[in-house]
Parts: sequence; C-alpha cells; structure tokens
Amino acid sequence: MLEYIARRLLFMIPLLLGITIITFVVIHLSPGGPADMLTGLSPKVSAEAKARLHSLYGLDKPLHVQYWLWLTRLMRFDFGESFKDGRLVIMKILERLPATLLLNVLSLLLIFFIALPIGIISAVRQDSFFDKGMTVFVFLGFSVPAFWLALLLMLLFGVFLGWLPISGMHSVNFPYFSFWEKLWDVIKHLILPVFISAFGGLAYLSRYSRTSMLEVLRQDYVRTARAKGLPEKKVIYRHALRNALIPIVTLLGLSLPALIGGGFIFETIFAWPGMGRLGYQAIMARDYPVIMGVGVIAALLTLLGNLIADITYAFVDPRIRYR
Amino acid sequence: MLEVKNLWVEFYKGGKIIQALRDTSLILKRNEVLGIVGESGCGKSTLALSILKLIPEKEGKVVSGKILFKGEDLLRLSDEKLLKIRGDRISIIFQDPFTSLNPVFRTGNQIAESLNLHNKQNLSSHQIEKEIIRLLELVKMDKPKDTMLSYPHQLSGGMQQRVMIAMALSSDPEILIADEPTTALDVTIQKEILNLLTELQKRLGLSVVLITHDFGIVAQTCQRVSVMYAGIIVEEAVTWEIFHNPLHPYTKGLLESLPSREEAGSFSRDEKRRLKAIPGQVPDPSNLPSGCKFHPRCPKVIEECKPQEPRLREIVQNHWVRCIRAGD
Amino acid sequence: MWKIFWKRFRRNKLAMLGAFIIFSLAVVAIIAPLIAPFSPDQQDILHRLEPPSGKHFLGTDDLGRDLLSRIVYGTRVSLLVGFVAIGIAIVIGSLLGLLSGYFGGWLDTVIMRFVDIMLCFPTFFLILMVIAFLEPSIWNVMAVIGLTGWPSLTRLVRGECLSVREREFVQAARALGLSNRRVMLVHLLPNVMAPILVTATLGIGGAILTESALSFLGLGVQPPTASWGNILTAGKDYISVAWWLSLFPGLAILITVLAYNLLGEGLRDVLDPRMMAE
Repeated sequence: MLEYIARRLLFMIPLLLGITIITFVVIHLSPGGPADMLTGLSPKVSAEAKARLHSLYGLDKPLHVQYWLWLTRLMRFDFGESFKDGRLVIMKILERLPATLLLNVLSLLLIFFIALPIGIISAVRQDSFFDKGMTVFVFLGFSVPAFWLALLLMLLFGVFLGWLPISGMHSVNFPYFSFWEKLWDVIKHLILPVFISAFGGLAYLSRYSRTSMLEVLRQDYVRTARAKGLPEKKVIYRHALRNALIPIVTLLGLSLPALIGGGFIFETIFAWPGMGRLGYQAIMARDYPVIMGVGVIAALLTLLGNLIADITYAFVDPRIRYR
Repeated sequence: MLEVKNLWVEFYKGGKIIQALRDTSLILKRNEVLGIVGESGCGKSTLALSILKLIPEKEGKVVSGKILFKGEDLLRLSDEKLLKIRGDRISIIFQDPFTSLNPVFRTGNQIAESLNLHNKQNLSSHQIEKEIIRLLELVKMDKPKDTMLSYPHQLSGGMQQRVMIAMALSSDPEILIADEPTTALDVTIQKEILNLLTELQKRLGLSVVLITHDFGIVAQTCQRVSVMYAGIIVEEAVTWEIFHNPLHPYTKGLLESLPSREEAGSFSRDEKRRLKAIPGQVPDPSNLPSGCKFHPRCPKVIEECKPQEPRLREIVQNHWVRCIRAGD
Repeated sequence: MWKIFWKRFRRNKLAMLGAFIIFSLAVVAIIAPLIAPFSPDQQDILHRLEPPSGKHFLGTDDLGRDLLSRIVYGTRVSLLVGFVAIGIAIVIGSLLGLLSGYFGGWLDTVIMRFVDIMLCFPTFFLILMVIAFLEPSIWNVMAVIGLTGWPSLTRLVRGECLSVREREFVQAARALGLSNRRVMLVHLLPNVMAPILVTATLGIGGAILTESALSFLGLGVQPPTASWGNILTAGKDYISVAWWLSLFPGLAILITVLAYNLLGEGLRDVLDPRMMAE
C-alpha cells in the first residue's frame, strides 16, 4: 500500500513538470512574450512593477534559463506580486482558497451522495419509470448551460421568491450575527452555488454509476452470490455495489478539473469570494502574475484530487492493494 | 431426487426469441453422477441455471415445465422458500472460478457468508472460522489459513475452483450442479479438480449433475449420461452403454471425434483412423432447422427426418434415443 | 454495412429527432437573412427592452435590437464554433491516438504523458488563460477549444487502435509489407471511426456550451456580433426587467446541445460493434 502511494507520488513529478512547462509556454504564447504584456495590453502597470516583472522572468536570459528561474520561484510558491494592488499573489490566492475548497468539497459530496443512488437504482430497475425519468434528467443535465440555469435560479429564488441570497458568501450584517445565525447565513448563500456547480457532475456521475452498475450486475460473481441463496438486496448492495464503486471513485477524482474550471464561471456569477472569481477578475484586468498563480494552484489541486482518487481506489479495490 | 420435466426455456436477444431448451426432461437419482454432454450453445448451461432459477429475468425465462426437488416444484416456490433450497440443499459451481468469485472480498469472507446464510446451529464467529478451515482442508488446500485471508486474485485458477467448491459444500448440500467445472483450468489442474469432485461425491454422498462438453470427463466420472443437441436431449443411458453402443448419430459423431486412450498417447500414425469431426456447424438457435435438429449434419439422414422432431424412444432397456433410425 | 446502419438508425427515434433538429439549425444558419425579420444589428433605442409582441416575436434587447433575429444569427456562430473547434480536436486527437496506438513504445509514452498533463488542467481555465493572452475573438475561441479538446479523444483512439492492431487483417496488412502510413489510414482508421464519430458529435455540443460560456463572460465572440452567449450577458444585467433576454438564448443553447447529445448517444447505440454484427 505504501509502495503504491509512493509510486503514485513519483508519477506526479513528471506531471507537475509538464504542467509548469505548459503554463510557461502559455505565458510566452502571447505575442511578443511577457515583455509585451508590460506595454501593449496593460498600460496601467507601474514602472516599479515592470522592473519587478523583468527580474521575475529574467527576460534578458535564454528561454531554458528563464524557465529554470521561474520554476525555482514556483517551488517556493513565489508567483510575484499582483499588478493591481501590489500584494503577493500567493497571499491573494490563499485568502480565497478556503471559499473555493468549501464550495468544491460540498459539490463533490452532493454529487456523490445524490448521483450514486440515482445511478444504482436506475441500473437495478433498468427500464422502469424511474430509470426513464432519470435518463431524461441526465440528458437535460448534459445539455443545459449551467450558467444559464444559474441565471434562471437566481431569477426564481432570488428575484421572484426572494428565498435565497443571490451573491456573495455572507449577508452585509454578518459580523453582528450569533454563531447559529452565521451558519444559517452561510448555508443560505451556499445553496445555489453548490447546486449549480454540482449540476453537471450530477448528470454525468448518475449516468456513469448506472453504466458501471449495469456492467457489474452482468458479472459472474453476482450470479454466484445469487446461487449462494443470498437475498436480492444483499446481492446488490453488498456484492454488486462494492464492485461498481471502484470506477466511480476514480471518476470522482477526475471530475475535479471540471469542478474547478466551472468555478471560474459560477463563482463569478454568484460573486463567490473564491479563487475562481479571483482568476476571472485577473483575466479581465490582465493581471498576469495572478493568472499564473491561479492556474498553477488549480492544476495542483487537480493533481491532489487525482492522488486522493488513486488512494481511495486502492482502498476499494484489493487487486490494487495486494499485487 | 431431482426431476426436470418437459422444461421449455426462452431467451430474448435483439428482439428475437431464442428457444434455448425445448421439452427437456431428466432425472437425477440419489448418489449418482449424471453427465450432461453437448457442444457449446446446446443449452446445457441454461439447464443448470434454470434448475436454480438463476436466469436473469431480462434475458430469458422458463416458459413451461416442472423442476421437482423431493416432490416440490422449484419453479412454483416463493422467493423466500427458494432461497432455502438454492445454495443450501442444491449448490452450483461454475465454469470460470476467476470471474465467479467476488474480487473485493477475502475468500474466507465469501465462504463465511454462505455459512452464515445457511447456518443451522448458530455458529459463533470462532466456530465459523474453524468451519472455513475444515472446508478448505476438505477441498485439499495446502494452507487453509492463508487461503482464508487471501483475495481471489492472489490464488491460482485451481485454488479458486477449490474455494468455489468449498463454498458450495459449506451448506452441506444434497445436490451439486457442476457447470463445466474444469473447462477454464489448465489440463493438469483439470484432473486434480475432477478427482477431488469424484472423491467428495463418494465421501459426502452427493448427487451431482456434471455439465461438460468432454466425453473423456464423462467416462471418468459419470454413471449416467444425457446427450444434448440444440436445446433438447437426444440420447440417454448409463455411461458404459453410451460408450459401447451409441445409438444417436450425433453421439457417435462426438465419440468418434474423441481420441481413444491409446491413440491419445501415441499420436496415431495410422492415417486411416484419424479423428473425425462432425461436418457442419451447430445450428443458429434463433433459426433451428425443421424436424430432427441434427438432420442437416447427419450422415444417415433420410427424408422422414425432416418434417417432424422424433420422440425419445427406449430402444434398449434404459437406453433412450431421439432418432427415427435408431435400432434400424 | 450502410444499409444496416441506416435501418438501425431509423429505428432510434431520439437520434432521428436530434439529427432533424441539427439539420433544421443548419438550414436556419445558412438562410439566416431570409428568416430573420430584422437585421440583427439594427438598433431602435425607442423600442428597447420590449417584451415579446406581434412585431418582435421574442422581444427586443437593451439597444432595441430584435431578439429573434439575433438568435437566428447566433445559430451561425454556434454551428461554426462547434464544427471548426471539434474539427481541430478530431484531427489532432485521432492523429496522436493513431500514432500512439499503432507504434507504441516511447512515442506512445510521450504522447500519453502529454495527454495526462493536459487532462490535469481544468480545461476551462486553460482556455480562459490562453484567451487572456490573445485577443478574444471567434477565431481564437475556436482554435483554443479545438486545441484543448483533443486529449480525451487521443486516449480513446489509442485504446481502440491497440485492440484493432492485433486483429488478423492488420497483422496481414503489415506482413504484406504495406507502409505504416497506409496501414494506419486504410486499415486502422476506418475501424476506429465509430467511436470518433460518437465523440465528435457529443463534443460539438460541449464546444457550443463552452463557446456560450466564454461569450457570456465576455471572453468569446465580441459584440456587436450576436452569439447566444453574449446575448445572455445582457440578459444577466437586465434579469429583473427583461426575462425574455435570459430565457430564449438559453433555450436555444439547450435545444441545440440536446440535439447533438441525442444524436451522439443514438450513434453510440447504433454503431455499437456488438450490435452491428447482427
């Protein structure tokens, strides 16, 4: 098991290097490279920031040296300073990270605990009314632009019904609330963003769990379980489910990039004070150090998600654990 | 002991109905090993599965017929009652032990599950463990304690099949259905498993339905044989009789395609006695020929074979054949 | 082969529905000037934010432009983006997948590691990042969606190739001394076409969604060119006074993407090799 985790960790190193290379390439993709950002696209940049940027990228040196310098800075999470307010990029990201993590973890949990039962029940009762209804839901889920759904829900719950707040993480008078009021306030602010950011994943994972379960139900060991004389419930919820979970767990880890990517839209729409909104604002303001920082951190989070998925995978599948 | 009466089973595939078993009957006597032989796709596995009502509802169903176990029709039992027979008094083992054992549970767990399910004396967990070890020793596992803690993928094919057998025997069944129990295994292991099954059958007084495509296995283990072709039984007799006086052309064909013991050893140099294969192919089950289903491949076919399926007739005492030309 | 395909396809009602919608949309895109009641850019400040009426079937936007006309013209953008972006992704993805699956070895390792890296990035952010460095325009949007959309396809094609490569006819072709290029294009490619086609169809839906999201964020198709995404941007600003601005463009996206998904899933069923063999 330890060996397996170690192997996974080692495997992440080339991936990490690759991520930094691509990010580096993207910076130099802009016409004229980072040098051009200083003058052409961002006229607001101060002279001081220009000088700092110059030294940050070592723009006078050859490319591979520039990359190496940049990489050593990255390893210390030194992304430089924001063009906008001169604060350290890493600090700006760190203060936004908890909100993003809260949103994503809740979304993942929601996806898992709603999509999984839906998929399993659909598979067990294949072609039933429930299954057909869910298939329609899944198709709609794949096809609805989530940001549009967000608008509609804001319109319905926020504007027409007035039940839920439509932006931010707290109400204005948040500091004066008691603990329980604070909690309730945050929950109310969370409902729409969590639902919207989970929405795509919900459809996808329900479909996937259904497929996975159908596949498992066809397996010989399910027939063996029945042949033993086990009641159908135990056959399904003990023998089949454990096996169907294996690919689903992996997928959950892999759905992290989509969740984080979606965050850039949803956090913006709901004015959620997370990393995604920071990234979006940075993009709109062409605040390159922040864009870079957010990009690298987002990729890191994805890698972390993959690692967690790999470890969970080993937990649910003894064929990985004991090789 | 067990009697299958006029069983008809249908499968649905791609909107078509396939008749997998047509009017199949057989009787299994106490303490006997009954062989069911036929090429793949002839319906022999379907027969095994339908005895325990293990055919998935979406794929097919028993249309008519009876399966009597001690006078009770298994097809008419409530689910609850069926579960007291399935895996308890009638156990089954399958062709491929690797896919038949659940990969995510330890083998000991899987055996314990059966033990708990059919636990007659309310064993404590300690006793259960002892019982698992006893069962694993019964099927001649070298290190029962290690095996118990292993996951299926850590065992070899032969060991996996032994675990399957141990699991099947955990409820102390009266009948064991073995569906091609050695087909997926290496040749050397096949023999070990077969010997084990024969020995256990005698020792425990089991009645066994052994399903196979291999007449060699039948010769070694079975007292009686039913030969199946295209979803129907075409010949039935005691083993000795079948081997020395096969009456159905299909049975003859099967036997001729089998190397005899001496030849198998010396790799026949005699060109005249080469192994004969039956010409033609097993018919498409969704598009069966008329009359005797074997007539398109039969060397002795006559016009009368084509319009109507022959009845099963007793040509010699206790030797039944479904061929109008048998005994000519 | 085509006969079986067509017979099976016609039986799949949902796929037929999808194909029909896509066909209709293509017609609408081509003859947009004939259908649209107004010019999409014709402003009419006196009649801004008018609700749906006999004159403006779907109402007008904040500049008094006819919403129906803008949506009709938006069809062009969606189809163009969908096809071009996925075209790019298909070419890159299939090519790398074929190379990887056919040659194996170090080439395979390099390509697959690259795919792993690409899949680690939240695609949407990668797109945002690139667009931030370039100028937002419809061409950049297409290029970027295409250039980031290939990795999963590469994986798929490689997997298919690996299984087809070992089949007799490919082995035979190689034994006959056909050039690698010929074996790949003539023998391998047709056999992996089915999954490519399915992925492409589903991918077009995805690309249209991405484009609309980018345009919504102001990073895609730039006004005044009408795109369903950028109409929604205005919709968001006037959400409490002009619901039609939010509702109809979204519906257009929903129906279009749904059509591609129906067609794609239908094709998946129809092209399932286990079924085609029947």
